[in-house]
Amino acid sequence: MRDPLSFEDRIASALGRYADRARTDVDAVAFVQLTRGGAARSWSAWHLPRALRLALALGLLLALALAAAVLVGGRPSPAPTGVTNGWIAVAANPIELATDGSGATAPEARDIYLTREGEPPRRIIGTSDDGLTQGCPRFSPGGDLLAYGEGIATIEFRAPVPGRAVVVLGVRPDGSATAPIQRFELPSEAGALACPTWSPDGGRIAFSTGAELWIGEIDSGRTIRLPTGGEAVWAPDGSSLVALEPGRIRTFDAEGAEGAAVPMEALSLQSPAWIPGTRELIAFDYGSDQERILAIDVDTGATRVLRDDPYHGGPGSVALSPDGTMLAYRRGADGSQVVVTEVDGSDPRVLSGGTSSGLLWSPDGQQVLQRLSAIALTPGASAVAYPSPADVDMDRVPIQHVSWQAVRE
Amino acid sequence: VGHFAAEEPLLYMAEVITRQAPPDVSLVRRAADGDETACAELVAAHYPSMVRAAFVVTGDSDTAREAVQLAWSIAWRRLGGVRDPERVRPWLVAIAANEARHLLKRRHRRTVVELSMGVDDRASVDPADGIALLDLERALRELTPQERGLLAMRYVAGLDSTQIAQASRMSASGVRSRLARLLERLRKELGDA
Repeated sequence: MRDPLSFEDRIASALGRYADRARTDVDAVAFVQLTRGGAARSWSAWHLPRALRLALALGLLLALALAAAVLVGGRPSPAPTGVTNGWIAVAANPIELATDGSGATAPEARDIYLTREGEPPRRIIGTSDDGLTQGCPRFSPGGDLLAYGEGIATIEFRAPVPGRAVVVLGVRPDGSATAPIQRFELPSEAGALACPTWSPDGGRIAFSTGAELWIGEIDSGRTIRLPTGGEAVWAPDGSSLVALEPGRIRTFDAEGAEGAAVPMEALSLQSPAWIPGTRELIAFDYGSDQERILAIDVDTGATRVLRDDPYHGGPGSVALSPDGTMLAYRRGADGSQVVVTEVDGSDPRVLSGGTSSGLLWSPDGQQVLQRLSAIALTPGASAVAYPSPADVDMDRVPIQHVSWQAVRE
Repeated sequence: VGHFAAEEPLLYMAEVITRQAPPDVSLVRRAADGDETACAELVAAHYPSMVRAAFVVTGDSDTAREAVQLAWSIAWRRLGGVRDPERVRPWLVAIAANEARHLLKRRHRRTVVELSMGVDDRASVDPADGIALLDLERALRELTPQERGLLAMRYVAGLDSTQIAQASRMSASGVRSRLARLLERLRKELGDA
């Protein structure tokens, strides 16, 4: 019997021989791309054959899906995104039982729970007596990390929260959390709870401190401060961050360098999302007489009205499907109708099952979530009610405190 | 030549300082500042290590090279934030291994793909280690991409447990215990019990 050390040496030797099979030469074109390109410029030439194959395959899948939908007389749902739905993270405040046994809502000491179909919810971050608000959970694009805002609990969510930070930790497949891997402390003065937004590659998060927008690097902990209080959205390639300020669009590169600001008609925008493959954002405009859903060209500031009948119910009043082909929004005097349309606002369809909350698409693009109840887009499918934590008041959970994990198998 | 006298010692000192700095430190700093020659040197120095590590994760040269391409695109963006340029190699290798893992997940590949080499070659046993690559490949297929990444970082790139821990968001002791378990699994798979 060989001792463990000698076996370790043998494995190292064999793995070295195995790795010798890799082609490690760099051809001339690739070398130029590697040294000069960076992500955006190098991608197209290097990956073109594979990208073409992928595009053809996706096109074929989309065509098949459309054909099937036409055959059965239904309206197409968004194409499958290649991901499945994982855990749903919810930040909610536990209900404290009053002495008479009735539920009394605790101050805004939100904690973060995970839930999914068929499993009981579990609290993974926070305790009832920690005096902290943990909110705005956001799964990373890869689904393996969770970022959230933290601060000392106050009675109202919108009231200033002192002791703020943004924390990042890992989520294991079984729904348990790792120890925090990064913590970004915010300035000592109080402000709104910071809600993080992940970069598309999962390497950075952006969050507003109020007067400033910060970019935090997950691995290094480095932060870059940008002088804008506008709501921000990452470009799909992660190379820049677009901030929507009243009347103008500002663009910053990943290192914080600012490009030329572009004037824009809209004054108050919410829930921006970048339409994949375009230079346009969709956003909810609530600053004019008529509330609207707009498409905004980030290069020119030009706007197109996609819908002029939305209901403004705060964050999540409009949501872009994961594949960027459809919109979901709320309509009606009390916002109780949930409507889906094509991404250009055409062909509206009212989904069965109203809502009184913001909307969030499932990662697979097949459901629209309203708190913990999801409307399936498949014709005839019933709504799915995900298990609510027993000790929380779900009616008081705005949609910005819900995030759905994408699982790429 | 008297008027050069004051400059020459300065030039000499600058050269000495440059030479005394660990090669990666000046390379990383220059590359982060946009020096294309330094970028090229950095790629030339570390590309093979990165591809070898990624290859152990993917089992396929093309996918490994693609992962390394993605890894460089990430590395360029973050190079300016590298706290310890002397440790750029483990950092780059770890990014390559991670990108290889992510690439496999994105492509729905649960296992290592077939190697493109002759059966005889794969079946051959090196007397130095007594392990056939065919058997090793089969054993690697049973591991997760993350586990293969750990093996690659430790035994192909030669990173120690502290360096792996820093790169993979684990504790050093966690890395050591996972590697020990992996070795035990491989020992059983490869019949070295």
